[in-house]
Amino acid sequence: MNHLPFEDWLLEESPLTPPQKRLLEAHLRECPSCAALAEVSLALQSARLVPPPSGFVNRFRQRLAARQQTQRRQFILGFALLILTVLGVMVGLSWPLLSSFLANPSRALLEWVFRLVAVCTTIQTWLATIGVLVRVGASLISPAIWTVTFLFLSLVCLFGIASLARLTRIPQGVRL
Amino acid sequence: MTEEQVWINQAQHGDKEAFACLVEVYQTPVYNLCYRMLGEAEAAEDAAQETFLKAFQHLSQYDSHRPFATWLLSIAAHYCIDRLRRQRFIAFSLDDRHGDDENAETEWPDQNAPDPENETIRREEQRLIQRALQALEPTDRAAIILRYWHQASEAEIAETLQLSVPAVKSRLYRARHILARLWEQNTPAPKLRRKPYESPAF
Repeated sequence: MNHLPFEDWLLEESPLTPPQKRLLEAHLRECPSCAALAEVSLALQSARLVPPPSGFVNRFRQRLAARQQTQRRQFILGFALLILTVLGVMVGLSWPLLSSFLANPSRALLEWVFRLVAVCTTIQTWLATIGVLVRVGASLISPAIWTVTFLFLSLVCLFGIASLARLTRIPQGVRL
Repeated sequence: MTEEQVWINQAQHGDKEAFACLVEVYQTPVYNLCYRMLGEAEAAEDAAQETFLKAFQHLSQYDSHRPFATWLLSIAAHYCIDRLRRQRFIAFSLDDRHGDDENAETEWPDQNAPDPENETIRREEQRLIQRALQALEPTDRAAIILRYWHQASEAEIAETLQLSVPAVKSRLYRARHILARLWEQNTPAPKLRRKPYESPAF
């Protein structure tokens, strides 16, 4: 049996003209599958909302309180575990230094001061070298090229920020 | 600013009582969606409660320019879909599902209804529809429930289920075909008591 256009009329649920209604009624008397489709439409359209058992809001309050208490406990436990782990790692890593300090405090202090001075000197040398390179570079490359380069880098950054904002936008209906 | 927006604003600042007011307003639509999706009262209660908990915990993500009901129903629909997928879908068979009916909410005929016979038939239809819904793929089921129980437009369903409008249309078409096939198999020779175009949709 040809179900067109009756099936489309039923599925689209659009208003029908009086001749279309007569045609559809005649078809439904002969076609069980279209009649079933129409029956389902009517049953769905007369569907009613089922309310929850009474006291739903109070049960929600209790569940929320219990959940928040569990989360607080988990947070405290996790924080304590993190502090203990960090302390353990720090003691483990600094144990060679600590042991030398405990064995001969004055010598260990002197060694640390020498190391600190060495690090500061290295940083100073690097900064001076970078300064010289920048001055030489600036004199070799024209200001126009610098401008273009910075403009290009700014555009790349802007593009990156825009992409990040788009990717992190929270759509409605997201799974939580 | 409406009363609902005031409650949402207060709840976003951690006011639990303001959120309880929102729960009071939306408990029936959320519970109904969960019940129609899961088919069991106990599971529906649990899912509805979880929906409100998730909503409260993620209220900062709610975009106040969109309807709160859509956001809430979206959380409920996704929660139920995930839950059903975890349970693994069992092939639908009306005959094999008698055990589930023990948990289903019984809708007794209303003796005060103007036409008790029609009321009984309507309830029987609703029972059949509820059982047939369980045969649908979870996302199709959510689309049908949002369309017919919550009067959502295709665009609203698309937003709620994170689908395109053509995808929603196609899912609604397919779901109604499946429901009609099951209806045909499980009811003796359908005879329309009302004409389909007597409904407001026609």
